[in-house]
Amino acid sequence: MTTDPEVVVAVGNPDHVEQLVRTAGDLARARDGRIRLVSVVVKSHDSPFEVFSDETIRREYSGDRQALLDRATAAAPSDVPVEAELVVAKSVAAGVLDAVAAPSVEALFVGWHGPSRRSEVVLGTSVDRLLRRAPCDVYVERIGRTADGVDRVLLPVAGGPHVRPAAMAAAAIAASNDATVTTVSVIPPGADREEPSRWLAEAVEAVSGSPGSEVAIETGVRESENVEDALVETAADYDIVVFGATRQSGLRKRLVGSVPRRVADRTDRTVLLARAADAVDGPLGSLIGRLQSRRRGA
Amino acid sequence: MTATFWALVGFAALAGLFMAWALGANSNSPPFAPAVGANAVPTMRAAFLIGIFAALGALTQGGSISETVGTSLIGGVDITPLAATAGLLTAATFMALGVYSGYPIPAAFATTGAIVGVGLSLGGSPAWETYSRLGMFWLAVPFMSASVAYGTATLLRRDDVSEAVGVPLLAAVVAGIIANIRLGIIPAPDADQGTIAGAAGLPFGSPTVAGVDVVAVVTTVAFGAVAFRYLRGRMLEDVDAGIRMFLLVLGSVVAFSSGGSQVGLATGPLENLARGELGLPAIALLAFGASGILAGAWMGAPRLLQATSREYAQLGVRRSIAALVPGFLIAQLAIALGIPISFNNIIISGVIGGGLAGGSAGVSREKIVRTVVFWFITLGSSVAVGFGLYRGLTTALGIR
Repeated sequence: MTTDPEVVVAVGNPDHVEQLVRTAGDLARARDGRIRLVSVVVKSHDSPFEVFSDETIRREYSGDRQALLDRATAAAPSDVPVEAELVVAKSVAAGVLDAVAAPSVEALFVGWHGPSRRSEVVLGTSVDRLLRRAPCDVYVERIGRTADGVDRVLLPVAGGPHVRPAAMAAAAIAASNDATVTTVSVIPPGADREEPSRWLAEAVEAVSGSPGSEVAIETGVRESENVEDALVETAADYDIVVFGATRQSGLRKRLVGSVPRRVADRTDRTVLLARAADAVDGPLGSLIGRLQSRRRGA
Repeated sequence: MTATFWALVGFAALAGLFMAWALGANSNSPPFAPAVGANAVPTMRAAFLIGIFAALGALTQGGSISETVGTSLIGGVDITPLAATAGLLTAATFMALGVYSGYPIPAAFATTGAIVGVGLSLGGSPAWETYSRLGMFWLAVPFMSASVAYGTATLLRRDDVSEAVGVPLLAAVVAGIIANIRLGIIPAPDADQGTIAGAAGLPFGSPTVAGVDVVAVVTTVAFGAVAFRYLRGRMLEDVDAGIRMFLLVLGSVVAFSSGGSQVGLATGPLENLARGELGLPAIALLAFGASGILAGAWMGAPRLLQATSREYAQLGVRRSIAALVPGFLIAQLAIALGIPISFNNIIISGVIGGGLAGGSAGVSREKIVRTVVFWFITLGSSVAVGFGLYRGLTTALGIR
């Protein structure tokens, strides 16, 4: 078992696999780590394969998963060590959680393909479960309009524990592409600027303190009645938007607030959502989460 | 009849209906999964057919296993309405646990264990003779299923037997057996249920030669011959279309058998209540169970079909057929002997047997041990939970 930091990429949907792996590569490069590509072969418990060995399932019944992994491997940057793995599990989330259980795993990358039809699901059943339970930093990437390279990275901040992983990813992407990071806070018109200044200072510190080469940072405060509108408008001038997850209060705490999700729905830019490892639910919280996702047929 | 009695009847009926629903939702989709996987039928139509065939099977073939569960598992006492409720709740809880957790918890084991548990709690005596019969059958199932699947897959793999002969041959065997299965709607002079082959001889006085019913033999052979000729004709035109058709027909008869073997798990505990105390005919109780199975299959099958049809498609047509043929044979044998059985056990053993014919089973010893351990845990703990639940209810409510 390697002790190098690992960045795990969950490879599921063939669309945009290459770009997901490239972003993960940027982060692995900055962290001086390696990429582990993981694809899950789902065998439900009603499956006729119930007593087949994992090895047999991987060899003979993995469908198109191996081809997908090969494609993803080919897309990985050449200066970062890559390994690929087929995991057999009862659900996508269970397989990915297995794969990220090792302590060497620092971050998990998953793709996201737009809004779910079901209202109780924030980003999709599997992604929701991973956001709640993966014991590492989690990045959810929605690939937007594909551009040639990245020049400008937007990092909206409003404090909180998730700024660290968001800043780290923004810095890594910028470092790999010679791009600029702009960190921005949106406040109501005429509001006190002390708090946003603190948020921005924190973010700048997080970006410049991130591993990897130095990147250029700009900061700004925007005044607007509507955070969402302001961010959608601002995002148009950037290639990628990196959000930290925000906690909402409520009976069921959602790790992804409504602002990042709605901005993602309304912009065609690539959107990256970051959730910090230390924000993972405790054992009781994860038990409740597990029961809830079971009930939804995860 | 007091209000308490009727309240208990209501609870017991509700528990039975729920159990039938759960069985319909979870146990009946494997038969059509290969057909859906081979694109022989769309998912929703398959779910519709599963419901219809499983309900028909429950109605016409469910009686024997229902009787075993209701009257042969425990000696000296009748299952009271409260005991039936406790037993059904226990079995349904185990089933729900299995669906929820993904652990292999066979419904037949859970129901059998639960009824034995409540029966002992009622003060009944263990029916050792029945237990040894069930135990022997259950032990034999994996070997029978794997052997039949092995034989079927070997036949289909042989290069000197073309598929246009092998598949119609299997169809002939299946048709011959259909002529000889006991159905509740067919009259018979010596039993509740008759067979098509037996009934065919009745107008002629069922002549026998050396103790063998001649007309029955002729009917059986005729069934087989017609099936062989018809399918062979189809396959000579288009091999794949013929195979798809066989998968569809096989799926239908397996779903039918599955309904017949599963409904008793829900109606068995209610046997004494419905037939003894309320004086209802057997068919009424089976119709009750069949309606639960129908509803469950319609609601649950689409989801399960979506989850498993692709896996059967990966398994391939030959091995799918090789798994379904023993499924049909063993389910019918279990029905004929009145032995509750879990369908998934048969299918899994069949898949392994079919794999062995290809040279390697590719199974994991660890997963098999885990599965078998869960079967034993299910049997043992359902007896304990059934015993405890009835004891608790009867103490708390002060009724038997």
